[in-house]
Amino acid sequence: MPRITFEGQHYSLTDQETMLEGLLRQGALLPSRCRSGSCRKCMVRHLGGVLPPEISQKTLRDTLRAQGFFLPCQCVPGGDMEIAPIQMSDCRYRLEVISHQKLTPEILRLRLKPEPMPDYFPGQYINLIRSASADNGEEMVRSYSIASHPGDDHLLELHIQRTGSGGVSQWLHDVIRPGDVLDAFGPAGDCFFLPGDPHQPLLMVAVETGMAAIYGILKSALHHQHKGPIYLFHGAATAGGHYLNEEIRALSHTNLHYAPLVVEEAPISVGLRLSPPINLGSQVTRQHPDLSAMRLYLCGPPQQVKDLRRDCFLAGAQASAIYTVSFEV
Amino acid sequence: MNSLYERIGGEAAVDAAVDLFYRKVLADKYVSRFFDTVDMEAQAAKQKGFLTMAFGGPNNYTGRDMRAAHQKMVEEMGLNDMHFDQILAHLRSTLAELGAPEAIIAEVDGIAASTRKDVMCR
Repeated sequence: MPRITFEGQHYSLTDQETMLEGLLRQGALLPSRCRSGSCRKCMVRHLGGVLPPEISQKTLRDTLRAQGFFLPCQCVPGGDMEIAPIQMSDCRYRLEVISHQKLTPEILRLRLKPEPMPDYFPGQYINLIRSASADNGEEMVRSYSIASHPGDDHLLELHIQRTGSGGVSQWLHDVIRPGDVLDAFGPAGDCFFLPGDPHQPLLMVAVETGMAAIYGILKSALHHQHKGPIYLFHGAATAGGHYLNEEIRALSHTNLHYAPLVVEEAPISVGLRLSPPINLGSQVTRQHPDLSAMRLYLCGPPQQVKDLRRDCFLAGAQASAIYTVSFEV
Repeated sequence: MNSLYERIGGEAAVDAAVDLFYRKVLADKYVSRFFDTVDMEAQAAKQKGFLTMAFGGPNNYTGRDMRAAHQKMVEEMGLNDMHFDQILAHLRSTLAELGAPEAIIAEVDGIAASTRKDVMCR
């Protein structure tokens, strides 16, 4: 009779039932829908004890499996296990601002010293908190991708795009200075590099400050001595948005092909389009018409990432080989 | 006689069909927005559940699930019978491309078509 520990409670399972059935039978609050391993509503995270059976992770991508995520509706555990909800831990920690550098008037590079250092994969994100004050009313939280690599130093690097409405980004740009202390929680996210076939071609597409995550992922790939070609595109509204040109060219990986691209927004028109729109996806897939053998990382604002992912999938990429993260700007 | 699911090739056939079917509906601008969700793998897993059902295979789909899964699309995104018909056509094309004979295509089409009321939340 396996015993499951979940949110401080213990649940005993019978030998025949799935973890989901056993937990629900005993009143645990766990969302669920299909109970057949497809909807993922019930996904939880393994914290300790026996490992979840393979079938309970079969439909999950490697970066979710690496974080111990599995589906309890498909899990008849072979022994005791401790599990947790998949939501990001809201356990907070402090970060000291070590450097505050404007890369462009709109993009700020923050280097932060966390206490304690969280375990993270470059490309995951953390949530920064601007606490409630007379100026901003309620507490505000924004997610930022981690551009640093644990092998670099003991600092977290974030790239902050100033946004018109962003109470957090403006505050980070204009008020925060070196020596200040920020609060944060996280990391989370499933868009990061795990070593696989060292010769597989990698395609990385960053839009605007989606470059932060891509830069972290790129450094991970190089850290793991990836041998295959790496095709890196950086889409930005202006040439000034290619804010990491120097750093990337300094990486000098013989197989790194870097292409900064200026992307214009398609004009909105009610008339019928007489030629296909030229967007970032079409620029990428024109150079790489067959993506079936590649691993892809796509990072940027939600709509661009969604369009890119669809275009890449239709150019033959395998769904499980496409890693994405997007953020509102 | 073996079940439709077994005759058609079981899980391996479903996997092949999901990939093809998903590429077809995403490439079709008329219906792609209903499939173009944030989590592509979760979406593919849902397509797999649906096709397993349409192939007469083991599944836990109930009419209630179908309604819950499509309610938002009907109410907020304007999913209608024309879209539903278009998706059935993609399903038939998928099967034809995988070499299924007419009779099998008709059988699968019949099962998929029987979900219309639930999908449309009527």
